[in-house]
Amino acid sequence: MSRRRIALGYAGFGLFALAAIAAGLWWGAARLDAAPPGTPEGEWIRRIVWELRAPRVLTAFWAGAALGLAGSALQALFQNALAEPYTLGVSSGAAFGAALFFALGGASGLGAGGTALAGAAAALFLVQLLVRLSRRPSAEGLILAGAAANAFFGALVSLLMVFAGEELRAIVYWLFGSVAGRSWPTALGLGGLVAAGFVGLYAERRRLDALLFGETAALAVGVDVVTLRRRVAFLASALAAGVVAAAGVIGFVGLVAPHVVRRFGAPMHRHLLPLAALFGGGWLVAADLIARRALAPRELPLGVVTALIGAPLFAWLLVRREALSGDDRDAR
Amino acid sequence: MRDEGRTQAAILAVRGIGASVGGRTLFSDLDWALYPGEVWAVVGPNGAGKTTFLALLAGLRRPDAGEVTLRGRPLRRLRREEIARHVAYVPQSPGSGPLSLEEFLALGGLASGLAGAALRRRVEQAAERFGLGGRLKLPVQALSGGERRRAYLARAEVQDAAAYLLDEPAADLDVRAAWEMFGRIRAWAAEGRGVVFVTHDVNAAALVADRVLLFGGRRDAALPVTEPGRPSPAAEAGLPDPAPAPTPAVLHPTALQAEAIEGAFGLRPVPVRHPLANVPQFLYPPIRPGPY
Amino acid sequence: MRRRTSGHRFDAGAVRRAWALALLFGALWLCLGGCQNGPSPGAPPKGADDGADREAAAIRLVDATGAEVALPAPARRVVTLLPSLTETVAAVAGVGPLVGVTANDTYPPEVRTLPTVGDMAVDPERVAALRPDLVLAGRFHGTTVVPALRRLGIPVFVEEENARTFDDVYRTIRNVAALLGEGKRGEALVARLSSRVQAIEKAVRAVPEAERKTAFVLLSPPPDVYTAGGDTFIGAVLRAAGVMNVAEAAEGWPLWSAEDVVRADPDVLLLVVGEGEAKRWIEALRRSPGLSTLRAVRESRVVTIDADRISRPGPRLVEALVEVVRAVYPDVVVPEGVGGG
Repeated sequence: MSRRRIALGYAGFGLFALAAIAAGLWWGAARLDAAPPGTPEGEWIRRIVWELRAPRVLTAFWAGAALGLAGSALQALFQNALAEPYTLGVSSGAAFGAALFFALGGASGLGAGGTALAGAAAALFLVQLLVRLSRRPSAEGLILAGAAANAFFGALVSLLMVFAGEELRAIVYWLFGSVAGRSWPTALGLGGLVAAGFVGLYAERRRLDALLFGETAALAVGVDVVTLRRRVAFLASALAAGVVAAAGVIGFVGLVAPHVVRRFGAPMHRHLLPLAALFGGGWLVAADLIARRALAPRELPLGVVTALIGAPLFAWLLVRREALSGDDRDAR
Repeated sequence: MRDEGRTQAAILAVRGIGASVGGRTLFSDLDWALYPGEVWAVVGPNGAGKTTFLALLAGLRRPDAGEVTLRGRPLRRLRREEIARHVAYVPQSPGSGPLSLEEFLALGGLASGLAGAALRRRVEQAAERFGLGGRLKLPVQALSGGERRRAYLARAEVQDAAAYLLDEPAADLDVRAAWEMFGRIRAWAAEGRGVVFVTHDVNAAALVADRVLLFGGRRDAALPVTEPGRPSPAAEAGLPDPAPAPTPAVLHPTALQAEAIEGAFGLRPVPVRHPLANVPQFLYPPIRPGPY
Repeated sequence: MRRRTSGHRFDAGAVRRAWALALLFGALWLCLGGCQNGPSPGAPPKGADDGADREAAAIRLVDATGAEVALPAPARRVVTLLPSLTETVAAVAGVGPLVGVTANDTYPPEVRTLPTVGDMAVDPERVAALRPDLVLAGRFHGTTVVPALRRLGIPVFVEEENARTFDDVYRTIRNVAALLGEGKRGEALVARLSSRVQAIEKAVRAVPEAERKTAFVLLSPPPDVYTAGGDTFIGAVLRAAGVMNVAEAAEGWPLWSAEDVVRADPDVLLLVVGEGEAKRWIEALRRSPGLSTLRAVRESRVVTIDADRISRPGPRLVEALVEVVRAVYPDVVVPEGVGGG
């Protein structure tokens, strides 16, 4: 791919993300242009934007970036363009982990993040096990395994809600996904996790490239596929868990972001990872803006907005059965 | 097969290895070694264990018995990256992916750590050598079957390995491309690398290789000639093969004879001599109508 | 990200270091994200109408989460996030101090014209934009909305939204009244409500033991059977009304088995319905294969109670109690209170 197209990609996706962030900061319940700075009213609005809107917008950006990264990683891992934390049940696993923590009376974000990670890893392990047992490493096999994991962990969350009653009313809203009222520590914390996840995945970029051509082709050029799988699965789980702990369950961003970037013509992971992060982040900021403004003063759940846009695209991909690698009939 | 002293110099060596697939023994107790500058052809009928043998050499699967060593060190103890620095492997079915050919070829530099301008030069050179010079910007998915095969060979070239393991390298290639590819194999050998290629084509083996490893010798000449390539009646019935699996035969190409080929393939070919290369070549017997 | 870096060698050490870094960062930031600070000690925003002469009347109260809420002066701009709290404010100080409510607020009718800040999901930004000097919230808002508003220095008082007894309601009334600087009116309201409740309890006690009724509360239209346990506000109303709740031993708002209702065969079925929903529910009840066999249904002892009144533990609790007593014991004369109801 030409340098010009890549430069165009960074400029385009970067501008999109910046524009989304700027729009997200500008529009809100308190209008920045309602009062000039210096007046008490103007200062108050600016404080609202700095203390409430800015961390919210940034949390949305990092959550979207994390989902873009996790989606890219999982799609390479399973050589399947339909893989992402939501469709594989990883988000459901993380949601169950966090919900269990809250239901047992926990309150700290660290604890919820930890149990979310455990849940995400358990779900991903379950999916991998099912794929292996079904002896059908096809696109359908993976999606079926993901659906099974989704149903299982979804049922566990429902079970929790039956028992925990009132405590979990808040969790229901949180399961729909929301970045309302997130604080600076949450925004910066998620940002740190995304940065770390990006560094970890970026270090594997060429090995992930090699995996695009199938396991044997990757082994042939010296990729330790087993270790790579383990590492990437952990990083993707950590990113998905961080998103669930900070912003709840948000579907389809991880599916759409890498797909759009790849369509644009940047399948190499050294470009795919940063561009999918930029696009996913910008997209979630835009989705949050829609969630806030579409039916104001009512707020739509963020996960509902992303699903409304993402689900039809997912269906379209499923119908087209787009696989990452054309054919993978390697030596037996 | 060879004495102890030379084993040290071998790039790849196997000692007493055996392999079986689905309860059927393909070969057992095989000793063999690949030395620098050697070209080996692995020949035999379908299902005789050629691909399995190559996968054992590449470390893609573990032998049921015995050990494979790379420059004297057990292959199972080495990391994949280390293996790939010495051994380049081209699978039988080259998978496709969304990268451009240039990006795909650059993956050959992954194990050696080759980077930057040096890698780019090597990629361009390898593409040129396999007739893909004008294709570098195209996605691998858009290449034809033959081009994709050459792309994998070129990636192996980028890998700059001591041993090249090629599974059916001539498949999907037209006559000219195959001929040039075999020329590349000889050039690799001339550079002091060892090459092992799997083929059904006895004539190519005789023309290109220094040594032939003939698999499937158990198929005795008593099999009816009218049923070439069929599995034995026992295998067809799902029973274990009653005949013990013999070790593959090592032959010099000039010593290839119609009897040995009949023993492996169950079809007695017509032997002739290549008028220019002066090596044995084999023709089909006259075709007559019959059931498959 | 440029081409040049594309061929970097992978050494295991670098990868492991990246990993350690990833874990460290993850743990550090998740912790920071989790260990959110409590209310920041900022002054509440100064409203344009706020005079300096009220500073002497500082108010300090501990809320349901154990947080101390301090007001320099009685609240004048209040945003309520729960309908029961809206009704409580209106009862002790009128709708005057209210500057924002949720879309679920319907009573008193004047609040429908106030700016709304969301429904169940509240946008903290919208609340802050109204520049309140006090926000009344439920525990339910505790995870995100409350800390967000406190970061801006807006005092937030959290009440237990699931009152279990009348005493819980009285406590809420006293708290809200104190925060509004209307302590005396709050006390008066509590005295009025409690004397009325006691009078009704006394009147009901006159019903002979043998004539006491059992009732089952239905919170959802059939075929779903959700009911109210003994530890809920509805449970407390039933106890005060001298009615035996079939689900008295249960906690919270459980899903009940229709078979168990049929076996208990209560004297009365209490439907807790919203406005205009009663007809649809009763039809569903008649069509329900299990519940239609109940004595209460066959003999038309199905009573509808206004959901807003009985499920909002606010000052209208007496109205709910009277409604239940009149429906279940038509012969009992409900004593009129002093200006209550």
